[in-house]
Amino acid sequence: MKKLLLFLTLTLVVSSAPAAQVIACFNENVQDRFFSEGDLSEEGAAKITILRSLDAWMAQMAFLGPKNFAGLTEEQSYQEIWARLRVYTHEFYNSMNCLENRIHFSSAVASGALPLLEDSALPFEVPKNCQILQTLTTQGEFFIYNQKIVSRLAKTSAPMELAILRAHEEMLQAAMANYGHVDAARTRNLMISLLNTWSAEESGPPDTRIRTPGLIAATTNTFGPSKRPTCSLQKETP
Amino acid sequence: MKFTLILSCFIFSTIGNTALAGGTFIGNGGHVVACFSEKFQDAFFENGGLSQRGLTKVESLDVLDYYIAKKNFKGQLVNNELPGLCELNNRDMAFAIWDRLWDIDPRFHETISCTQYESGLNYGIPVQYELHLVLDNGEDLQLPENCSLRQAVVRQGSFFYYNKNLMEHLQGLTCVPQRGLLRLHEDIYTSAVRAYGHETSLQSRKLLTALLLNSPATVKEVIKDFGRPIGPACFEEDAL
Repeated sequence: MKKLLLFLTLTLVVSSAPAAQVIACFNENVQDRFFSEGDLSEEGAAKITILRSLDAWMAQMAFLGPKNFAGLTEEQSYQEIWARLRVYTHEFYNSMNCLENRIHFSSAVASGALPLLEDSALPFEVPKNCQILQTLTTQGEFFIYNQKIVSRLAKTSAPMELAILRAHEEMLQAAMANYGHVDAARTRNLMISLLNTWSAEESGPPDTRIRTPGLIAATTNTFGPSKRPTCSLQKETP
Repeated sequence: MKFTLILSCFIFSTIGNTALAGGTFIGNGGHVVACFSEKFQDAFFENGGLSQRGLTKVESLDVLDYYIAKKNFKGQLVNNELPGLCELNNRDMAFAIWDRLWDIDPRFHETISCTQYESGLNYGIPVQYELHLVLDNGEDLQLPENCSLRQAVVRQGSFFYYNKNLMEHLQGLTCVPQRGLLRLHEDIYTSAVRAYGHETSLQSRKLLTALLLNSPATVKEVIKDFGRPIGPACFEEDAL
């Protein structure tokens, strides 16, 4: 009963909240029975072929996948994503870097299944053998995550996957608060760009330096005008 | 990654333009019309592209603007194509069409041309799934029952998601530089949004169709309906 109440409450409150998602793909078309109580069922777990953040999956499709994250812990990966934004953009970084919304799974609220928020604005139909799962979302000052899916992700995927969820959620919050975005499309494009560029420290061989930051510049240019030079999630006083 | 980036840039150097900063985010257009030798069936497509069965039945695959132009052409088609286009590559065809507009109305041409688009950064992302159909408001397409409207490209910001299968066949099934036509549509529409505040690509499509038909009277009619300019077609970031 408690779980039902929590689900219903979340259905109401997160309908306009930013959210980070995971994609689960199976070796056959998705069936309801592949899921149970916010987790994979036994059959789903046996048939799953991919479980990763939607951003990383899209990055794989676009540019062969996240680059230069091998060997990094979750926290290092998270810092690396933000460092790339800082190195390759300046004013834009300041407008996205909201200090008050740092996310850590250790301090977030564990939950069961989260209602799927259709904010991903994917340009294509999700393949029939795949399902998008809401994994992390924000309500007020609380971060709520699907504990079972995050646990699976932590066990079966690279540490960067959890870092990507955190960074996506933070950047999407900033994009909504400071740029007035209503969906995650541009944030996802930014994440794809950041994941596929050279690491902040290396910044890449000379012959690629112009091209890779260009990918980031091209996506940041589409964000539109910022309401403030420095990010804040506080509502503007009239 | 470098190779993929270069490949993506290459593919979309023939299609894309700079994204609309602060404007319409998901661009319209990117439609193609596939016609078959018999009544259309869903089985002719798979994952948004032509299926094996569809490939055995397909008779034409055209950018929508070009399909409409062919339908309205009063003269003699050459091998079922508008005359004069097969001899051009994507780039030369684009120049030729812009020149036609200049000849008809240089002042209007000035308001919507933006050569800086060419130096803008665009990234094509090949997709092997069905792209969402983004329909223009007010479009009244009455396609024959052997034809089907499909989405070949969806723009999100500076990323152009394109259906890999359709894009390959778009170039392979005809001698007309169809990728260049997609790019032209996007260039005109980008300017129409920026300079004229358009919210759909309907007028842009009419303009390109009239230019393809080389019909100055129709072009002038379309220009009248474009509205009054509200701003520049070029933004500084186009020159990135």
